[in-house]
Amino acid sequence: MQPVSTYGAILTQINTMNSTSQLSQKLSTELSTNSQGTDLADNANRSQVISLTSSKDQINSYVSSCNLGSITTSLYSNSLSNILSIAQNALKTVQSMQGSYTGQASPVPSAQTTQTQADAYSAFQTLGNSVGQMMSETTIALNEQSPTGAYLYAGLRNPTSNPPKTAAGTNAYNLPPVADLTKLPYFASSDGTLPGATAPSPSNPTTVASYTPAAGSPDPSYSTTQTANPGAMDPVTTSPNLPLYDTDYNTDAPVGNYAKASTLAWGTQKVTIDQGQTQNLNITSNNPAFQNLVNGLRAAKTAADQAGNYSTADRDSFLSQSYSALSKAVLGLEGLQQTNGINQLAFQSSSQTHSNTLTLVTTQLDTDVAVNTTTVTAQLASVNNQLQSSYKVTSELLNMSLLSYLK
Amino acid sequence: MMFTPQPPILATITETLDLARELLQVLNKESEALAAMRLKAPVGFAEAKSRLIAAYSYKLEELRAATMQPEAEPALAELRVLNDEVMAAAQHNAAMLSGAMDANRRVIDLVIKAARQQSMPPSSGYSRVGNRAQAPKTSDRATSVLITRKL
Repeated sequence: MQPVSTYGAILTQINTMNSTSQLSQKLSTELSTNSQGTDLADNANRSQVISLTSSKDQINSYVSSCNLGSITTSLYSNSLSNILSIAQNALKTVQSMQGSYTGQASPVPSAQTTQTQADAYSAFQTLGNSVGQMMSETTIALNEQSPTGAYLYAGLRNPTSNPPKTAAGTNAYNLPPVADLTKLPYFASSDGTLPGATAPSPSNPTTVASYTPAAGSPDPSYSTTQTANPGAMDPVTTSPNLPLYDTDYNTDAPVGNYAKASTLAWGTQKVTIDQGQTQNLNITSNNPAFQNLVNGLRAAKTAADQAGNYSTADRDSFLSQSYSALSKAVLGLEGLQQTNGINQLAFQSSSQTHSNTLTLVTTQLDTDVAVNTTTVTAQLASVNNQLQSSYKVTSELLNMSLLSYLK
Repeated sequence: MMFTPQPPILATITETLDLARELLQVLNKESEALAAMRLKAPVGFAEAKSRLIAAYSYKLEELRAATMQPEAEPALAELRVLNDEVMAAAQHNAAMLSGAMDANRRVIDLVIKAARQQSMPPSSGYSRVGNRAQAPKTSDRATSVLITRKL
């Protein structure tokens, strides 16, 4: 059994809780319904000085998140415009080649080559050079870094917290997410042959200089993987599987049951912009829009550079596949731009709302550190009344039927 | 020089134009104040808006009832353009007021949240394993023991 004095202490505590709870409840009702209790101004017991410091800190943290999101989405916006422009150029170029050379043989020039065939071969050589340039530009664009050094399209692979899966002796993910696209192999012809002279192995030796495969682990070359789909492009992978061009593709640490996979590479960063409200922030280099773009460029490059080696039917098939993939890429990139634009607006709008709230706390309340609940109730209710009245007047003007007379 | 009085319809249109200009000015000024988050500003603007809208409405009613003469057409065209500007300004004004009310509501929420948090008694419950999560202060304990002994 509890001693009597302990009961007394508990009762006191309960009374205190009830009293503060009532105050909070009443204040809450009055503030949210915009109606003051009749005794509010006079009842000194109802006054309570509260500090807004922690609330302000919380809002400031939301503002910081929104600003980060706003900056990042701006970077994505510029980058996506650039990539979309590459995709559109590639699409036009491939379309033009289809229109001019479909069915037209383009053998490696020899004594028997006709002028028309020589011209076709030359045109495909030019196409190969153009597409090679586009591949370089795409590699650079997909490996773009933010001012802080983070790779924009690396997913959750973070320079400071996520080591590469098999890089020994390092504890920082310092690799660009996308391998040099110009070093990717050609797609195999329909009979399964792959031009050996142009198939690099292993992946991306120039941009991933620091990459060291784990001892004893298989290090599959590109040529091994490419003969799996003769006459066709790579299938578009879904999370957590990586496409061939990802710099983690050839690392050998499986994710769950998947090899050549990375949940971090596909990871989406969420930013808290308000209480209980998060916003997606990043776009990853493995997005289907980028996979289609890379596939489209590779198929065009295959058709162009192998124009003299592959059959005309194979060459035309790769041109056609290129066109199809690039069309999907353009659509996908436009979708990404749209989504990014919506995210950008959400960050900006939320940031503005929080900034306004902070401004109001400073300007409406006498101090931003500690406020008296009674005074605050009166101030906020008064401002709310004024705003509502003014809004009502403007609404009357907007709803005036007489205005139609002037139309 | 002889003063030629305006035909009544033209005089009415001129007065309506003046009212529209004044209304446009008030709407824009209030919107500017709201953009700068000067939320106490609407008190004066609401009255001015209300007065001008009533007068504007009255004049429009007069114009609608009047018989239009061809010479009034240029002035009427000017009024149509100005009226479009007023409507655009009113829509912007409504959006700004709506935003300001939203911001004010957020301040209200913020105050309520702060009041609730600071009204809560300090935590002194038990942890998941049954131990006291927070030991009482030595002074509190001493006071409690002393009172118990007296009883």
